[in-house]
Amino acid sequence: MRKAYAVLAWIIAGAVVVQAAAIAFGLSGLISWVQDGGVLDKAVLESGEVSFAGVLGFVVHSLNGQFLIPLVTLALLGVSFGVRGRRPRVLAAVLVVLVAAQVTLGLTAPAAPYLGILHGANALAILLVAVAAARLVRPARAPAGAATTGVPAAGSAPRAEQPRGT
Amino acid sequence: MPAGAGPRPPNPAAQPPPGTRLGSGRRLVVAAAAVVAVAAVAYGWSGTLVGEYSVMDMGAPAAAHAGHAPGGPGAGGSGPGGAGAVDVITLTADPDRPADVRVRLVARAGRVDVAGGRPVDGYTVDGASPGPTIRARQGDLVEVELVNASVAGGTTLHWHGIDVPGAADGVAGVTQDAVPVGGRYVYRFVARDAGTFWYHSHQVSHEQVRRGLLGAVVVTPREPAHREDRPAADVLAVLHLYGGQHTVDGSVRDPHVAAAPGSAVRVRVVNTDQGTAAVWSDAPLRVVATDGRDVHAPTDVTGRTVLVPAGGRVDVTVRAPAEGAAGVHVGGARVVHVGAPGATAPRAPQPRESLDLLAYGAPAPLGFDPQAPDRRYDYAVGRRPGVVDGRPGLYWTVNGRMFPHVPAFEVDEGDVVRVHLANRTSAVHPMHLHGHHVVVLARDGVPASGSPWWVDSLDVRPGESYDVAFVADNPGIWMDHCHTLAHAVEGLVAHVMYRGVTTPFTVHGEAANQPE
Repeated sequence: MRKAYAVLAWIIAGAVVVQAAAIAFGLSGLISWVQDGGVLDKAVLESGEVSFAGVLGFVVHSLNGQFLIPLVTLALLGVSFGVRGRRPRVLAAVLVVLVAAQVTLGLTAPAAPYLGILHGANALAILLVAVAAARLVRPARAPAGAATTGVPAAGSAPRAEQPRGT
Repeated sequence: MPAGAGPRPPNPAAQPPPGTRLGSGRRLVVAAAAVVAVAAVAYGWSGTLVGEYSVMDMGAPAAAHAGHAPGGPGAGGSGPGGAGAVDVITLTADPDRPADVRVRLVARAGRVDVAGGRPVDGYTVDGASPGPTIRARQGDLVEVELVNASVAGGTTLHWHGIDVPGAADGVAGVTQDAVPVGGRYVYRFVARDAGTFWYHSHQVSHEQVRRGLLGAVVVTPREPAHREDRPAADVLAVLHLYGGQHTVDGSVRDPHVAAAPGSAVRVRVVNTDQGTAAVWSDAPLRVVATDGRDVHAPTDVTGRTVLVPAGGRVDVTVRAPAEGAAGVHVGGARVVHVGAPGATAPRAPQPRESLDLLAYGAPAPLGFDPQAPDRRYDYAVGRRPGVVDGRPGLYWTVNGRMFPHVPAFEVDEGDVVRVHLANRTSAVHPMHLHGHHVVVLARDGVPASGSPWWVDSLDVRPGESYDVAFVADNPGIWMDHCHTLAHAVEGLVAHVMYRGVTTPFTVHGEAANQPE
């Protein structure tokens, strides 16, 4: 469970990086397309017919943001109940809240563009919390001679699962 | 979930002595719980499958409030086969009256040649897209025979903005079966109103309309305008995007309209695309009609963008300048040049402010009293995650309910109906009611103060609400949906149902009707 928790948290962190990269790719491609005479209007937005280098960025941003990240975050919350300690659960819950807010902001921003500012800033908060969660359960440096599998032997003190920083 | 309610790792202090069977027992319980959970999810999922259905069974009559309709809401009559039921296929134009305009249109799947651009794979009507423009005089009986030569999924023609009889509305699964390859269907209607309209497929419409199965209809007034009011030229500007190419009348080239200095040219803008189109000019322009209804006492518009909803039409007039040409920008990319032959107007920046049709022109009688409606309905658009027909996603809702459980708006012939449209989403929705024109009474509670603003396609922007009214004078079963057709696929469809009118057609099923 600890390993699954860490892996899921790293996936979320990585997915946030993908989000930033994808949207920058999309916007660069869009500007390049417009410079070459392309015209963006509502007809184009709704058509799904335009292709330019970077259009994949918007697709990835949308699918990753609306589906992959929310699902992985929910999975992280589920797995957190299998990890000892309160902090993994708290961080997973914080991520669920941040991701829910992020999706809402992303979907609402077309009606209220200033929300886009929060959307960008909140992305970094998700990244930081995801990294913190992933590092929370990383295997502690094992004492020499002890098992390093990360699975505590019955009866041994599961040091690696102790909340850190408390 | 309370702490500790989930599966926990074994706690060494609480471990049972080795050798007990509790461990495997627990595993059994977990396995059983998992099976039950999977079964519950599968059952819930299968419950969302729509299968074949009749629009008669969709949702339930919406709560009509504050109306004084006999029987009140839900007082029967909505079910098929009620006493005195009228089959929608019997709602036709006078069958004995000979047609004044007779047209045969052949729909095909295949290559669409885009003048000046690259060809795309799509649909044509009589070999081209847009198809032939149907021209009629007000009051003419128009008869159109649709022949499906090769549109594999079947096709239909819907007469967008023309208040046709119920049987001629062209909605697959509601007013007819989709016309299969080799099949034909005859539409007959009286062109009651003069104006700019269009026709398009209403079978798999999000696909067939987008890829070209459409054309324009122009109905000229029975009484021609006085000579001095008549424009020097009257042209169509059918906007459509073919494979990302912005076109006017099927061409990526900007049209030029020759006109003597000072003479007026009428440009009939038809937005056949999936989103709002902007129209503006550096010269003063007048909006003389919206959705096939004249604007009363229009005035010159300068420094404003005129917005045309998806599916909507706006007729504007512009005067040719003393020299050169005036440009009417239609959509983001194309310009109609009006003036000296071959002259090109300089590009004009798009005005940031848009014309508010709520306060444009001068008031005139409506012909009915919307202040004492027989029925009042809410049509609130929302959005939430859910599962429709087995597919999870974010879906549109009507009054909080998701397709196919959206409300039906039941009316009786002769009712004055008021609808409060509200958009609680972050996307604009061009709401289109079939078979009727609605008049805008207010937006966000601010009453209309200009010309009666009659529409069949109305953009409701995020957070906005509109009060509209119409007279239920055209019995049938009428779709009332978003004309960003992908939104209709995602469930933004409701119906205005006349009590006692039934349909024998179903969606899906053997005829594979799929109106959206």
